[in-house]
Amino acid sequence: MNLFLAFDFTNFVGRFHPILVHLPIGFLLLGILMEWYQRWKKTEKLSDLIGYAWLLGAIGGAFAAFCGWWLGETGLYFEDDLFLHRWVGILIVIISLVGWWLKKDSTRHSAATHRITNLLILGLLIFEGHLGGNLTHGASYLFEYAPEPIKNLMLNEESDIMDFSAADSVIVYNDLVQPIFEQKCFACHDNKVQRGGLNMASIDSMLVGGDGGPAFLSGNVIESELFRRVTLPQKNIKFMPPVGDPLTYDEIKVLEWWIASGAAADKSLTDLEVPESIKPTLLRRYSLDTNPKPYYETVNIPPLDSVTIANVEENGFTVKILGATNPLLDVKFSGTDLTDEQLRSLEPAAEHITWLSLANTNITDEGLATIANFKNLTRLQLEKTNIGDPGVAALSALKHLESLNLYRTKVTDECLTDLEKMEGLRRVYLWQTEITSNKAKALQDNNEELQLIIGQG
Amino acid sequence: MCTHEHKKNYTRRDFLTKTTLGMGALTMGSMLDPMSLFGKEKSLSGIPNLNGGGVLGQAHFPPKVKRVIYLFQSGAPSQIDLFDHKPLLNKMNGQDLPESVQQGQRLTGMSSGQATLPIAGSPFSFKQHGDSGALMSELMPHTAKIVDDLCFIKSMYTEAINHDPAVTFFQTGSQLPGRPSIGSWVSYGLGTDNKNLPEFVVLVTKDKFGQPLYSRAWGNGFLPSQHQGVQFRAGKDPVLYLTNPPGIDGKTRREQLDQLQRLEKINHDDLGDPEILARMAQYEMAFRMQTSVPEIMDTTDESDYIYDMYGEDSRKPGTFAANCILARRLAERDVKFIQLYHQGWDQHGNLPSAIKVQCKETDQATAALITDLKQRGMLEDTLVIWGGEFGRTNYSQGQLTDTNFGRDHHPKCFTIFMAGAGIKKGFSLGATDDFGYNVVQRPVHVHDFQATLMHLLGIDHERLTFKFQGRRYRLTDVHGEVVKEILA
Ligand code: HEC
Repeated sequence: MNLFLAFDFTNFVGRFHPILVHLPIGFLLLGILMEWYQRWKKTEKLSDLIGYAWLLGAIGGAFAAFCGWWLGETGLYFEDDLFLHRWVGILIVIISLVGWWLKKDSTRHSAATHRITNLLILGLLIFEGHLGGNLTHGASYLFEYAPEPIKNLMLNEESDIMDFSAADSVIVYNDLVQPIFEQKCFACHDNKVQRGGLNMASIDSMLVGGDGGPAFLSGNVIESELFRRVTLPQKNIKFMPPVGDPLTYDEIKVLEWWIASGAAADKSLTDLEVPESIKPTLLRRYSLDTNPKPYYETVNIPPLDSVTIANVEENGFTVKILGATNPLLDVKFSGTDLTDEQLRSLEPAAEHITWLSLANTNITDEGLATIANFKNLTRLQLEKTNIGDPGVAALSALKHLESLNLYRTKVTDECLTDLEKMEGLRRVYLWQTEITSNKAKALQDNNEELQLIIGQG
Repeated sequence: MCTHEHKKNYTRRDFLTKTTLGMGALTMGSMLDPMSLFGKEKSLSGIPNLNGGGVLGQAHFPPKVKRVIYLFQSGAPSQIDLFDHKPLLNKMNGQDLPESVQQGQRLTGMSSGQATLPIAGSPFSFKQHGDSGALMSELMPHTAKIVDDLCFIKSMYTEAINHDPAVTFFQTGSQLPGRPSIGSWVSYGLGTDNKNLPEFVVLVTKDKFGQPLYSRAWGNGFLPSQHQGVQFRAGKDPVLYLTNPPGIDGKTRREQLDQLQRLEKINHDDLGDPEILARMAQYEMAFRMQTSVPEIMDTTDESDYIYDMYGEDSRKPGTFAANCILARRLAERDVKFIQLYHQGWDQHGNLPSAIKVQCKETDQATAALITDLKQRGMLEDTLVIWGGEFGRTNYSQGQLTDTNFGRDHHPKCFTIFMAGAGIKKGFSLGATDDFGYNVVQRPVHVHDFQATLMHLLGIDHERLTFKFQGRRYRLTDVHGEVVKEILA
């Protein structure tokens, strides 16, 4: 092959293939049609012309196969499909020659032999034509616009959206990057075939690279040949993949991010820093939500029995189950007079309560001791109560508490040290309290994650 | 009444529904909640009271939002003069809009006959605000101060090009009248959090005109009628026909209602018509509202600084600002869906002066509402939405002069913003082209918006359906995808 590279013999000859293939098909079909016509007319001896048509078909076919062979050598076609197309083509040439030999002296062979040969060549031509079509236009070309049921039957289209349940189990290279290569590059760049000398089956083999050197440089997107190839204008002869679907925007984004972040083999999604710009892509294409889940969605406990729930409701609370997928509870006291007994009725549900509102009640600092054991509590509303600093101190063991509403309570600057202790705390509402804004601000400056909402007026 | 007449109305279909579904519902109910069979407090509809009595029983997934305040800006505010800054329009001011931009988009009859479509740059200046650097025009100085709490969608688009179909589309998911509105779906699906108030309350700014608003925008469509929005008005009678007539006191009314309930129950046992249940529920609700509504509407317990915060208007009942305070009071009492309407954004002419009036009426109160909710900790689980039914054109309808122009309806792009639970803060999604005419990044359809809203409330929009005339309907018809990019 290298011998001819001087004037790109491969491409030059190869491109005659599409012109030449249709001629032999015409000859062969003509031969078969003539034969059928004469048999239908019950002609005694079949015409000699039939044999000649087969001969011309065989000769034309041989030329087409020759050019086709070289076209295949350009490397622009998927190896697996190519193999079959090549050899079926050559088989057609051979059978046409056999046909010519049969038809030359047709009476010497039984009608059945003729019929079988005719049907065989017809079948092979159709099959070969289809393979050729798939090679140039892609496998989905034929049925792309077919009515929906036929389309679904013929093309089992995989949806682009893959679903991973948890971000930390996703290995970026294995789960996100390699599938792209597998789908769009492996046909020409893997252990079996290495177009341009490039094997993309593993990171190491990509680093060895192809005829032009390493396929990519870790951490350097701009200098990476592989990235350049997939982002060239599609008309460019160097654009990859040369046939088939180009990489989508999302795929290019993932590839870019992977190379830029150091092209690691075994890093999981949570090991790598996920820049804001890639998040929408991960969400769209892989349904991967890289925002951390709220704590209450990570708790895994069996649902509370309905008798316990009913008992809590009977004690004046409104109870809601968070959702069909989450058995935790959202509980609110509906009145204002909350007795100790009522409060204690929550205890059997202690692990299940994640949102609790005792706002506007007469809850006391001592009463809050009960709540200090609600270990899955993430949101607590105590606004408009007489809670003071001791109450807040009692709560400081709640490590998953994320939001605490203390507006219009009796708390003072003293509770700030206790608030600081709660590692899970993100938002505290302190409007209309004794808290001074400079003290609050000082605490907030120390704790980037903590927001103290003082309000205005 | 002759019973015989009733029997005639009782069709084979009713019989089957009642026997099969009725038994089914009974068993289902007790499977979900064994207590309900033993006559704990039973709701009128027979659905267990756990989780507020909505059909869903419980949300599909944990809700981020427990209540919604939707500040609907009826008439369609001009995104180009408020949020979507397009300097190119100022550069090309007066030139004819290129066909390559318009791309054959249908125009309304009001400007399709114009010889030219002169590009109209915004006369208002824009500045970036907050840490998020959101662009806001000078028309909304108060909202500009809270941009770091807001999430803008600049790539909204709709299909309707006229007000009524567009409002109907936004509120019900269909341009044709007859479907339930968002608030009704929410009420139907999730039930109530406060038995003394309706789940869905509507407040319309008084004495505003322009395009008419039809009550079907808060109608229940084919859902049982207790799910329709209840309009609260400013003035002596906030809810029409709620007060007892002279000479009837509360006790008499209660006895009368009890008697009526007994009769209605007989009626229902006989006919099995669900609308009878709806009527019974509404009588009861009206009775409870006789005490709960005056308490809500009486805002004398609000402090002066609250009025100052919401603006001078807020002392005048029926204004947008006063309604914003009411909205907050309703939200504090766990009303699920609070829908405000403010008309007058339909500026086909005189835009520069008319839009100033609109902004003056709404800007301060909107910002105050969000700030007020925030300081009370209510943005934890309340969502505020601000937006109209479509956008306005980048060209002038009618003559463009140095000081005056108008803008026609434009469905292909507009901006809305939200604040509160479950969504990103200081964030802006999507973009339009330099002409502010077409969406070029992350288009968000009205159905996508609705799907997202339902998602935030813990509802899978594809699974809250109602069978009517042989087909299952849902808010988002057969469309709608949750806009995950804006979820926090
Ligand atoms: C249909 C076959 C085919 C497919 C599919 C294909 N390539 Fe290629 N690729 C080639 C051929 C042939 C060459 C050598 C000619 C050239 O350099 O353009 C090549 C060369 C390359 C080279 C340069 C190797 C070197 O060192 O010279 C890179 C990089 C490359 N391909 C990347 C890709 C990527 C990435 C994909 C998948 C997105 C892909 N290719 C898919 C056929 C293919």
